Amino acid sequence: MLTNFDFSVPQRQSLIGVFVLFANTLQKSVRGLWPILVVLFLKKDKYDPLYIYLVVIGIIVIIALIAFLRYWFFKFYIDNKLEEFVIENGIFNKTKTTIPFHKIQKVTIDQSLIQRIFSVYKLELDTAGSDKKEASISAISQEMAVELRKHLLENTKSDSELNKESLVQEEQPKSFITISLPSLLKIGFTANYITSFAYLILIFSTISENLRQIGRDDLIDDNISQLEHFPVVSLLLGFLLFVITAILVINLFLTVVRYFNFTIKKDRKSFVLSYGLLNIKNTIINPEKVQIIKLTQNFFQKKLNVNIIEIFQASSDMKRASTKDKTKIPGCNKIEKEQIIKLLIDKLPVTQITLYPNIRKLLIGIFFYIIIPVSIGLMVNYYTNRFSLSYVALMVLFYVLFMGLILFFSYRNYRLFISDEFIVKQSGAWDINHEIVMPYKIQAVKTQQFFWQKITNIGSVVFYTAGGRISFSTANYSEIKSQVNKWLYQVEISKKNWM
Amino acid sequence: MEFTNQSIDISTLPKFEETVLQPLEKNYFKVMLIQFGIFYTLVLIAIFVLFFLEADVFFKNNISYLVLAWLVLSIITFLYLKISFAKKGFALREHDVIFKSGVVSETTTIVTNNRVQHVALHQGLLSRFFRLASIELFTAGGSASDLKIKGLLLDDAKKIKESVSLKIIEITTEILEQEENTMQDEVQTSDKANLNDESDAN
Repeated sequence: MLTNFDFSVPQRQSLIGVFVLFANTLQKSVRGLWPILVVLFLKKDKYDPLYIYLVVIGIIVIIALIAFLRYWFFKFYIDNKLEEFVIENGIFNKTKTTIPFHKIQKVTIDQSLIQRIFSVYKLELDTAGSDKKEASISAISQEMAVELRKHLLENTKSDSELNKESLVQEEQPKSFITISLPSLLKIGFTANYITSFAYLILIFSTISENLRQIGRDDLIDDNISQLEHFPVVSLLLGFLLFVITAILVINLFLTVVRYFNFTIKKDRKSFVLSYGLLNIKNTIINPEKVQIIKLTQNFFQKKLNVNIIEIFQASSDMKRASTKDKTKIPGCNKIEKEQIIKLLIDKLPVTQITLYPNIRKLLIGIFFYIIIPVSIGLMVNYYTNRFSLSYVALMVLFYVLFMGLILFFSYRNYRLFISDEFIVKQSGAWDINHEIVMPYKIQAVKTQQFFWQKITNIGSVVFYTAGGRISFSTANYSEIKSQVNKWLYQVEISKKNWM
Repeated sequence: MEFTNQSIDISTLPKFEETVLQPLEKNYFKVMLIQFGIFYTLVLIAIFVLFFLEADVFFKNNISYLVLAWLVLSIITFLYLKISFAKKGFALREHDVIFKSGVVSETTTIVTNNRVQHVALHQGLLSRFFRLASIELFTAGGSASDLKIKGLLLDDAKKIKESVSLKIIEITTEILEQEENTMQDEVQTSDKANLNDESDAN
């Protein structure tokens, strides 16, 4: 195979990478030293300006020197004899990190804003046995990064596999799906309301906190007292309108910035996702490691023909799935959704058996979320007499309607579709989720039954995968048990690698 | 490998719910009783100390109620322990391990041998006295899916550990040939570490 780089001799990063290192170090130093800088700035009359300039220039020179030394002493190479990837770094304290090829789980190539300015890339190695990214090279050229990734991943595969696929490798990975800006806008309009609401609160609390710190919280108080002149209804409506627009704007902004130019490329067995407006992210998904696929769609998204797909991979930690590797694909249409699913699990799930929840699930929900809260509320109001009767009736009506609808729809959508090869759980009231699991990915199964459920033959099941758990409750227990027996059988005879 | 894709007849499969479960060792009930006995005795001592020190009016005036409450609580705990002990059971099948427990909510956990990542054997101070041990099977499904059986005979626990560890090694050689060495190392080191673990599982 042709290669422009010889990784068996120690390599340095791109020379232009010095600037990235400089920017990084500067950023860190400023973050660490900003109180001193502020003090210097506020008390600048006390000191000689020349003195201040000298200090600032001195600091910058030192940082530049450190950046250069960090660049100079950072070397990486491939030890072909020991089958290891080696990184040496450190100015005074030398560190040598060696990563055996077979431990490499994932190689990612990312680009942050600073790295984009200098058109260099960051390469990170994910290894088994650790949650952290163990090794990263923060400034190399794209060709080198791609070449190095190829080398590293090639060596993790066995030889036979390599020969088989060497023909395919020569081709450039083909772009497979690109998510268009309109799709992203559709998602921005229809998803993540809660996250954006949290952002809104965060922004407001940050603003008010900052105003308070500089002693200008009177600004807020003044504005609020001015609002009191308006009638209540228009105030409420205006507030609602404001919140809704703000949420939509934040949503749109976040979605576009995060997922701009979302492309999926197929690269040998795995595929590569790259996206982002300011920070470009590159994620590799290995279909073998995918544990759960979650599809989400709400009413609006259905009408607009967009889907959200989330992919839960097995954690890089071999022993423990403590941090879940989750990847989100926003805004693909029905055809693209089916293509992606086929890529991940070869075929679309079919349904042979459907498990329904017992009507008691709805009744229990009504009891806990409607009857109990309403009676507590009524009781409290009876003793405190805070609200008038008509007002209370209105509130109760509103709450019962809202909650009742949520409960009813989540009951109606609650299903477990089972076939020989797939388990699909459908759930949700507004956002309807489909979680797809293949039985051989199951790690452990739990069945559970309360003693009063024995007469009615109701029970629950939870199954655990390396990418998360899925539970289905209040369903026919005999049916659950027979399905569990089947899943156990499938797991026990399976010779397939679950990750 | 010959590929077959026959449909599965569920009714002919072995049924986990009909497996005869083995109860825990009787001595383990004693261990639990001693542990709770120590705890409740300490609570009672604390109550009396506070009463005789006359540190608080509350303890001085309500000593009889406190002792009564203590008595009721300890009887409830005793009954609960007895029922929960009777409810617990485990079974080793050819391909998986089953553990059932729970008084109010009956839970059955099943971990198949070929999904076990590693096995740990714990032995506490009291358990050592009764030659008991507990065994823990770890899977990649996270801590909630780990299967822990307390109150096994040490020899039984060792047997389970060996058979499951053997299975792990078998699979490792079968599928993850390249990672065989590291996995075996991990299993062995974790065994050593766990056998040296002096602390009681409780």
